[in-house]
Amino acid sequence: MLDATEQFINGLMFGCLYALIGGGFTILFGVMRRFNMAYGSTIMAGAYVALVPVYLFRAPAWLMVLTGIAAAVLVGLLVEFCCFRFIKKGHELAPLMTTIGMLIVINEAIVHATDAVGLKYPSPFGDVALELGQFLVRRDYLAVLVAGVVCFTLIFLLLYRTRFGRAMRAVAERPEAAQILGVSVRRVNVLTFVLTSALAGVIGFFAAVSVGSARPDMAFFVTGKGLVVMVLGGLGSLPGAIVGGLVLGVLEFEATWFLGATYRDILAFVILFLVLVFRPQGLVGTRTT
Amino acid sequence: MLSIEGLVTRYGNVTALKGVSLDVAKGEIVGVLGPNGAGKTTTLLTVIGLLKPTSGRVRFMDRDVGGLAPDRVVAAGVGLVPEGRWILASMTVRENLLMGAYPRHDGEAAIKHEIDRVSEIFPILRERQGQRAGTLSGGEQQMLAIARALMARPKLLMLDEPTWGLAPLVVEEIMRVIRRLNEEGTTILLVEQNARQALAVVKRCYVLEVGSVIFSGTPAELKGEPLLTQTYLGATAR
Repeated sequence: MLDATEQFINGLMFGCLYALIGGGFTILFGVMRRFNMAYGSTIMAGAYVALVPVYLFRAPAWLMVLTGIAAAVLVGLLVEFCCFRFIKKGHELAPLMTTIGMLIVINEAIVHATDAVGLKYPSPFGDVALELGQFLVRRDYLAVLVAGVVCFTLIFLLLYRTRFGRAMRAVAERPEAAQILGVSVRRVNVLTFVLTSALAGVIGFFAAVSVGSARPDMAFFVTGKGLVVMVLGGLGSLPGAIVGGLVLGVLEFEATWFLGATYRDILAFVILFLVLVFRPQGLVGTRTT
Repeated sequence: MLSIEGLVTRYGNVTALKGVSLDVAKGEIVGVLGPNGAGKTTTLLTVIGLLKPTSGRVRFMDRDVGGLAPDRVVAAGVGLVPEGRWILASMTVRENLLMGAYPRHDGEAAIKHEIDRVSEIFPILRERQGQRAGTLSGGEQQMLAIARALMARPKLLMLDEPTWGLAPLVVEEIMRVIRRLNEEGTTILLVEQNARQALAVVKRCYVLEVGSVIFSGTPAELKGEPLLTQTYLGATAR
């Protein structure tokens, strides 16, 4: 059982990455009530562009993260401009289509530029596992855990302790009420894109670090996990995204241990199916999907 | 202060306002009466910018605000207490009030002072500060909606059916507050179906019918129009 416990710990740590992915989808969905299907490609762009300074010189990890954030924010603004800004109110499905298109465009652009070959990622946190008592803990997973805690702390401080965060919550709850109180919904939308895209930059870096490379199938991978986490926790609920991400992480690691690695990726979608049938409001949420 | 001229607003193919004109002078308290579907709410939503007019002009303090986004109109000094209150139910009472102060940039101390001022007008809100707004009673939510609009220190306050569905005692308190706000210098545009309530406080009023103004004058003049009083205000103006 020692190894099952170890898998549990690893699953929790890696689950922080899933929680962040789900969190990014959730914040945007909460504020705009639209799915941004291009979010996965925003994350992927962050992961790839973060490598640029590494090719130019011996760039430290923090510089990679900042570069990834900058790239992801630019891509996010592009997505907002192309896929959301000019869509009329009341066309809920239109952004779903435009962002799926954008997902494919950005994905293909990156694949073309890199000849569809995965790019090796540096391992800034070291390759030697850390011994914590009787458990072996991967340092990059520990870094993911720290990133998750830091990012979610900052997000909650923004949402519940600042004037702009309050406006975001008001728009999420009742856009027309926010408007008659003087909030510019367009401004909140754009800044929500900036915020979630910056998060995408962080996610891209840590996702690539924890698998050791930036890979062409990355956007597909994170989109799948993100949507599963979102539905698992409860659509539009940020605590739900955290719980959903951790649960998915643990289940995947235990499944790998007990059933074998090939079952891991199927599991997410089996869980998605079961949740939709038996608990459509998600583990935490109250809204029905 | 507010001058509306020939305002036309459509919802898809339905023309809700067919050329409404009305004026509110600085310091006035003006009523808009009329049956359901007359265009009263549409007029307010068009002024605040949530609905775009097809034609016509909206001038506020010598500025053209017709078709501007709501945040610009609110920043210019127009406040709205909407029909249905639009309380932010998941936020606390205090957070709702802070949202009301969103357009202000004059510092935390001034906003705290404003919260004290509106809590003095509605003492119940002080007790309920930390409570989620969704747990308030209907009357308390209406008070919160008014207090929230006051947080921005609007020059013109528009209220849409502020007494709808409330107990008589609460109705009385809210009407008393509206009168007091006007006496303290806030210009008020009051939309009411409850004509008797409204006529008791307003100095001038307009009557709307299917998107057009069919009467404008003082409450006394309105009472001199037997057909109007009977047809549109009959049930409540007795």
